[in-house]
Amino acid sequence: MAARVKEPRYALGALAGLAYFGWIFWFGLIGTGPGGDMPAEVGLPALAEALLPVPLAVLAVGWWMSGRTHMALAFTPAESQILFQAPIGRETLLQYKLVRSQLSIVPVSIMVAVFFGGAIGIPYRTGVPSIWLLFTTIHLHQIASGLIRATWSHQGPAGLRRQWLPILVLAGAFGAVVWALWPLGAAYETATGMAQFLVAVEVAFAHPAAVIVFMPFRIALGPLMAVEPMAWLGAMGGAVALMAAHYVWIIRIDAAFEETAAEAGIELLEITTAFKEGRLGMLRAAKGRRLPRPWFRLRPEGHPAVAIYWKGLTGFTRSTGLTQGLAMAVVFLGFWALLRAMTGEPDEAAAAAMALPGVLGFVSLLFGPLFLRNDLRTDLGRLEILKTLPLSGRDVVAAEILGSTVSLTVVSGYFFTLTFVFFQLSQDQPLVDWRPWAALAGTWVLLLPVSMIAMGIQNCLVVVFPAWMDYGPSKAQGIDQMGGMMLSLAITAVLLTLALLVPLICGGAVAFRLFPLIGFYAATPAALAVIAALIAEIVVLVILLGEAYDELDASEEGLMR
Amino acid sequence: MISVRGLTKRYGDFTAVDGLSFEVQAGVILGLLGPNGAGKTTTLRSITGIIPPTSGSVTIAGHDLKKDPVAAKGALAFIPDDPQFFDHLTVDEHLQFYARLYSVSDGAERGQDLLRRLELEDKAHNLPSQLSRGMRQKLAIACALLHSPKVLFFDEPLTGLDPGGMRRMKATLKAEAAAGSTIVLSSHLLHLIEELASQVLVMANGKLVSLGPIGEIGAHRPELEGLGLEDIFLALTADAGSSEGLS
Repeated sequence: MAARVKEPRYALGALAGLAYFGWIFWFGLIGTGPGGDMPAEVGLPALAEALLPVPLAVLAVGWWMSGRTHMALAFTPAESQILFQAPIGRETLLQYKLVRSQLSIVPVSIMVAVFFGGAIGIPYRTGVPSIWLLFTTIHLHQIASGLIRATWSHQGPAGLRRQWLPILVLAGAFGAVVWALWPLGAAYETATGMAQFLVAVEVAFAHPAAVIVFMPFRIALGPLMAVEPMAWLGAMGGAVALMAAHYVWIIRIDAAFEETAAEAGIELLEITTAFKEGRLGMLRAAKGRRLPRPWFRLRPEGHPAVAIYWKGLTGFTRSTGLTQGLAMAVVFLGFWALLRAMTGEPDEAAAAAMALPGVLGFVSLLFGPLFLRNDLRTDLGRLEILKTLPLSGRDVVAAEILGSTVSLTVVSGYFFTLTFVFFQLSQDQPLVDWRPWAALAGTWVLLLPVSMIAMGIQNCLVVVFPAWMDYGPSKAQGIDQMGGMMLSLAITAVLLTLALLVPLICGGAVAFRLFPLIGFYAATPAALAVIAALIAEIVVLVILLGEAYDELDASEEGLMR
Repeated sequence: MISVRGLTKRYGDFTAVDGLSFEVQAGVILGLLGPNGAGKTTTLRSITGIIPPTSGSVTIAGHDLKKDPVAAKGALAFIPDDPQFFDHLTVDEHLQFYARLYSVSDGAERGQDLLRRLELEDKAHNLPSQLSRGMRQKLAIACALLHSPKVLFFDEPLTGLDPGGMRRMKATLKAEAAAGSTIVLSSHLLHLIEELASQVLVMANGKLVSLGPIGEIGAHRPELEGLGLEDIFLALTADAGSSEGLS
């Protein structure tokens, strides 16, 4: 990053990023006061206190079951190559690993305490050590389970025999939780309302078996739940003891972890690189999972530029995936079901749930053009392919922009359609009124040109100012990069506003002229005028951008080595 | 088939290619030679339309690259030394992509045939990231040959290929030239140029040093008579280095 900020665009980005962090820290620190008194006697409700350790417990059980904890043991390929051959004992290697992990745990703890501490009423003075202890203990537990699972996988039944105690503890804990929570099934059937069932949940979690099983998690969370200084000090004592116990446990585990650590390091490097280059989906495919099919079969006949559009859409399909979209719909439906169960009012629950996809629809429209980059922004790194293709610059630009435009329209339109579904669920007589249908259809019709303008602006910026924009699949990281993205977002917002202003003025003028004659039916020609103006803008943009692309000197702009 | 007139490419005060002119006829394999920094890659990129030249004109198969770039590019294919691909498309989909771009109506059959010839058949559903360096080179060749281009440009074509792959590559180049394609071959491997090229163009410091049939490029220097291509090349480029180029 230090080398990058010598360039003006990164220096500006760094300034913007630092200003943003400064602002956040200022309000984070000042908001709760430098030490900010602990909120006296304001504890969590008993039920919340009982349930708080559950997510942590689920996380821990997930690690033990899935075995994904091997990533916590990751040593980078360079570390594996140098350290594993060096005359260093396993204990020292583990200590090195633990110290190195603090390089990320400490800053993350500070950031979490500063950013979110104020919101949940925890002053940063106590929040930072409390969160640090919690994260460190979680990390130690991850490493411990990783080490033990490494023994199981490498030594088979012998490994299981050697690590019989953790298995016994895990099985015992599972049995105890089932025993404690078993009455909840009957309570759910007999409960007359949600409130009565929640009382039963509280009682179940107060069962001695549940109290014992969840005790370590409660101890780890203790400092965060303490409501006054002395209680916090006491809770810190318990949390420190738990962390120390984990440390001793790890150091005493007799496990040959080198192979797992080296493999995990390579896997981590692959994942990090794929994430930076926006091809996590590709990595899954490389691991043997099936690639999603392109949206349509590309035939040899027809306009050649369709190949570029098809390539862009296929990239979108394979980097985002249908599964995530469906999973999101399931989450929204789950949220709706939860609200419905808690309030007992299906209409109100649907109206409240409607806000989620609605907000996401607008957010995707605003920020989507920055993140959906399956267009010239990615392909400028492949100019040796693009520039030799038998296509005019105008065709290349139009097809590239259309690929990312359709992707953005699908994402935003999906969220707005979900909003429509929840709106219908909130109605007494769903699907009867024609107006919501018209609004949905109008939204889809308008989304395409609006998305195209937004994507056009991004592509325009990268073609006209390639040295100021990120191109290619790999994305740099750092404060300067974040600041640069914020500046880019601001420029995009200004240009998008200006670009939308003209069509809106056209539409307004048509409505103004026709409203006295045909009343509210003037909305239709006004909307058509907006769309026509948007299309005219897009045509001008594509023509100008096509010429700029044709004249782009890739070697002078540093786009090629 | 290829006509280059006064091609010049400048970057500020630096002249990468300086007034280069030459012509290559159909069925000829032209070896493009020069030491590092001679301007070979810049020349190839300018002739293929990747970068715009500062001045000069390029005609490919009768089409002026500046006035009619779509037709000119439709007649050529360029295989760089480090081929680039679209990360999200499989080997087979890359061929579909090129078939559409060049309107190759029998693209599917031709693609399958090329994959078989280049021993990539079992990799048809693999992504470029799953291919070795040599296989990526083969994929680039398959994409380039799919539309039977009239002019082929190769920048270090043997990079990453195993001995078997090299032999097949050389056979492919000879076959394409025999079928009437013009091939421009840029390489540091002098034995490859000696084996394949019928004409050689030697560059140094962005300028043309010598151009002609492989046995005649040193003809104007009696002391080079009877020497191999390596000795002739070293002598010509050494002179060019000391006297800022010959023409």
